[in-house]
Amino acid sequence: MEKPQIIAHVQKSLNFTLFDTKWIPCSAKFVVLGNHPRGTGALQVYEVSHGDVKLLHESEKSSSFKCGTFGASSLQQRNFATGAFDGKLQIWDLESMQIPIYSVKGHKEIINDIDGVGGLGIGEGAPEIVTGSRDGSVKVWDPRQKNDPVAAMEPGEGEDKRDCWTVAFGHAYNQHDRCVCAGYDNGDIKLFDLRNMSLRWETNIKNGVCCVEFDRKDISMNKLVATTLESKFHVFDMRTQHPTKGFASLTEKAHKSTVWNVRHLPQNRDIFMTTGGTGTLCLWKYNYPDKRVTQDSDKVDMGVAGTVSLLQNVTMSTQPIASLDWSPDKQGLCVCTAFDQVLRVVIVTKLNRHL
Amino acid sequence: MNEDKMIKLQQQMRENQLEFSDFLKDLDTWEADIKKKEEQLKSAPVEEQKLPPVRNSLEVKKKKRRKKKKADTETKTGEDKKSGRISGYDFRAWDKFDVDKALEEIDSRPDKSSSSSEYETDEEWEMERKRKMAVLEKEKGNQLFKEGKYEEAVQCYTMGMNADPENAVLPANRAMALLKLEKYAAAEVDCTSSLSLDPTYIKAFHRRGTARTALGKLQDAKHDFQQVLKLEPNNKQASSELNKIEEILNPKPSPSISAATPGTVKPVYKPPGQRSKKPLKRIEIEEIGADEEARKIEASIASIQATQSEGKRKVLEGDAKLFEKFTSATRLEEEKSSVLSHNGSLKSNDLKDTEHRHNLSKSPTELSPRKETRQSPRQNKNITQSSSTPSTVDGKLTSFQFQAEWKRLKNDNAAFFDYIKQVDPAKYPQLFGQSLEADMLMKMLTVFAEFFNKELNLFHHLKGLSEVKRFDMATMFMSPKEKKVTAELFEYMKSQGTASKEEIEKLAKKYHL
Repeated sequence: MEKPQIIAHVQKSLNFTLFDTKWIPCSAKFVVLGNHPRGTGALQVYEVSHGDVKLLHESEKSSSFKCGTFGASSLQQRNFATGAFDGKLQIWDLESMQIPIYSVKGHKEIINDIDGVGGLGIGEGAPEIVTGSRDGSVKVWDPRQKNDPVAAMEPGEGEDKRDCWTVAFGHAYNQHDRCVCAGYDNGDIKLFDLRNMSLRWETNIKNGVCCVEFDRKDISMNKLVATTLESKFHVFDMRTQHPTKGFASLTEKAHKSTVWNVRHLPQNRDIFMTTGGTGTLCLWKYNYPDKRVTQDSDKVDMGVAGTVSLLQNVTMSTQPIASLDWSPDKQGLCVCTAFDQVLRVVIVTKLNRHL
Repeated sequence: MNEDKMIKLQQQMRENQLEFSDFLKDLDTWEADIKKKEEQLKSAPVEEQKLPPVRNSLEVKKKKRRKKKKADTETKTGEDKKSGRISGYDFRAWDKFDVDKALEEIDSRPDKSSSSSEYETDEEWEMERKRKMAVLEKEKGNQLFKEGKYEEAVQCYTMGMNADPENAVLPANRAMALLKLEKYAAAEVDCTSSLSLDPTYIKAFHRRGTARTALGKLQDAKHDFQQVLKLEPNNKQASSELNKIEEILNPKPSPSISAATPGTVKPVYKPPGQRSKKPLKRIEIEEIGADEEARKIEASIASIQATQSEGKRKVLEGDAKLFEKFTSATRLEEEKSSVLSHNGSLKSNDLKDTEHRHNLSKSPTELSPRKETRQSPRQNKNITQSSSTPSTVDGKLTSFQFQAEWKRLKNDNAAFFDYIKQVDPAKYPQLFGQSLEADMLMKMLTVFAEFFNKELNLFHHLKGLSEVKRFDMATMFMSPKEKKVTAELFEYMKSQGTASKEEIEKLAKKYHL
């Protein structure tokens, strides 16, 4: 009875490979990013309108786009930051796409993931963008500072350069505190504290980390979901850090294939959607335990993991669904892209019954 | 039981359907709402948010001290370093940045110690940081420039200029790199902007001068180098550059030209402003070896001059005046042609020589006005042959000169005949070039018909004419009357007997007779 439905509202087949999609805040429009077969970058803006999507504008750029975010832009400007195959971080004014308003060759290789914070009224402090690249480095950028990152986390001399697949901001609950979480192809998860400029925590989940996301960026770290290459995802309770055991976590099997992506519902931080390599979408709800904190034998606080329950799952495509984005303005509305070159506007009903 | 389930399922489906259609309706209204909201957002005035400073720009200072201490302790406890230091990333970028900042701080500490804090405001701090960054970029650029990596050096300077737009050195340095890249126009612009920041920056003037020379703006370049010399009078490079430009602007005669025709003196053209204001003075000529004789001759000339009758003097004066009239008219043409043919400077020795010769044959009354008009001696020489000749001809007559003379004299048949008879007929093809018109040809022929006499070898002249290009074309336009004139000429030619009959017949054919 209470089960939400996941319904494909609009499906649109496109002629390029889709890598990422993001809603334009405060609108019924979204951006899709990808690459054309000829190796150029594709960026299109669509608007949802009466059961259909209208292409508003598109542009083609020299290098393929891998990822994008509005996270560091003000709600008024809504500039779009993109990461490209050639390692360039660029910020675009979507109204005039001829030249980027910010451009830097941030990495030597492809930028796999990007995240922003400090804009859109989400997260305290300076607007910042974090990029993770195949060259092994994670860099934090401030759009006000040209050419150089404000922070760079790179493997030291002699250390292996691991492919960084995913990055996420979190813990931005005041002007000073801010964390970046990065996931690597060898299963490493590293949590960088930008306030202290130090590595706060690291772990290995034994499997390539496809996606990490905090349930909220603008609160004191609460939960972190990390999805892996081989049909599992982990949820960490980030409230209580044990000096040796770190954060409590749970592991859940899902999708029977790579879990490509995880996105928390903006209107309810305990509900999140994972996307799978077989074209499936799974909607999950996290259930907190009775007590989130216990004490170990030495009377040191340690966290207690809760449980997750599957609310709904549905097969959308035959190909991996690589990206998904919830509309920040309309609960239950999301857009996802799959490698079958189809973008789908998806409606999830009855979400409010799980508040 | 089963039925119950079915009913429940049906009920749920209906409910789902309802829920979905509700959502869609809701979505439609939301779409409209959000559009309105977006419009409002767009039209709303831009609020200036107070954003925190850029990370690691302001905090760097405080942090660095802490870090330094840390580094000290770390080096002491080598083992602890590993556990204390974080694996998986490093902050070399910051460390590098910090070192510069630390140096800067040490430099600036003595002056700043009096003030309560390092900088009053964030803005000042930011300004200072940018200025330092610009200096760093400049040094980086200079290093790259030394290595010959001009493109990269330009980039560094550009970044430096962005950081500190008030630094006059950066654009000047970029200009230097641009000069190396042969981007002269851009270099010129950079120098100009550098000079606008520091109008006494010698290097910028010098580089702009170089750029402008390359761009062909010689006057401007000259001005720049003059500025350099004004600011630094013993700048050898600038003065040599300036000389080079002067040479291009006012080319000196190449010695080969004057050497080709020894003995001839070409007039010097100088714009009136540059001419010497000093009165011309006579230079006494001493002939070495024949001193005694020369003196005697001079003495005799002087005595002859002194004893010349008053009447003759008047005649001569009249002649001189007449000559003045002609020469003043021809002078412009002469000067023009001399400029065109890039004739060189007057050689005073040669001039003296020719004058001396004239002195021997002519009275000074006639010579002095000519000297003042700066006539070329070669004209004087001709005047000794026939003082009534309006214009003179020598071996170096050019087509241009001839055309000019033609235009001037075509209404005065007598003068024109005097002129033409001096011209070597063999030179006609060269003199007329492509420009033999029918009227010109007819003029020549009528002049010949009117004034021919024994002195003139008519055959040669007519033959010369017939060899001019476009002669055929010109003869075609001859009217019967004109043909008659030509026929008369041929008749005369036969009687003159300077050429064989066969040759005359041949020529007649060319004239379509």
